[in-house]
Amino acid sequence: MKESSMIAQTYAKNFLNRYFFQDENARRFLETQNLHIHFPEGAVKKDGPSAGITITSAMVSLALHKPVPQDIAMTGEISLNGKVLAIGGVKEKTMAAAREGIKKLIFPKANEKDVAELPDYIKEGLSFHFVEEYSDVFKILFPDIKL
Amino acid sequence: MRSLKKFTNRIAEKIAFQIVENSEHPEPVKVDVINIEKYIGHPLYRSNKFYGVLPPPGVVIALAYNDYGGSILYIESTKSSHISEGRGELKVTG
Repeated sequence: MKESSMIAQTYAKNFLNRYFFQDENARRFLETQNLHIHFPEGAVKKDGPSAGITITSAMVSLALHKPVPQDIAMTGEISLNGKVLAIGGVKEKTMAAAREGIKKLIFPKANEKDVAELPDYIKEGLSFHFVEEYSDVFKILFPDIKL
Repeated sequence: MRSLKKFTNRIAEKIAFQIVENSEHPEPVKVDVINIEKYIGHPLYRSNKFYGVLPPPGVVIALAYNDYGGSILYIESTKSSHISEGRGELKVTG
């Protein structure tokens, strides 16, 4: 998680600098404030890079001081330049989200075929969003903020 | 599926016992979401959604999986310096 957090931090800084250059507070936030990221519940094993876009979103949400809607869950590795890369466990993750009342799921575009293979009863009540770039994730989380 | 059978049996056994105990006036038994805990005990899995509908900024829901299945998990982030400005450092736990 350490490495994905570092990548997320670098990308979040670049993202804010690029899209929020007029918002001095948002731009300065990650550069000047010390951050603490915590992944609660030690019982669940969570190594692997699949939280990349989620960590990035947490940092961006913090810097803009905007909460993220709680009916959205996401998974996807992030590259240093904000590309969203494939992850594993699509079926397990989808079932967990449905069980917990999540409505919108954000998955990497590269996992679209895995979702297509899932039986319909698992996907009931969920809407899927497939993304290639981090900015796509941002638009789903904060539809009222123009990039 | 093996556990489903086990739990269904457990419900049936408890009801059978109940009927035998009240054999004078057996009453129909209805098992539903509300009283099922009486028969099979507390739920094995509790929801791990511990933030309400509007958490503070910096909290986002991630998805994880392992050999036993998937789960949602929160990622929490806060700033960790107040008195003096920090230097954009990062601390990671959990």
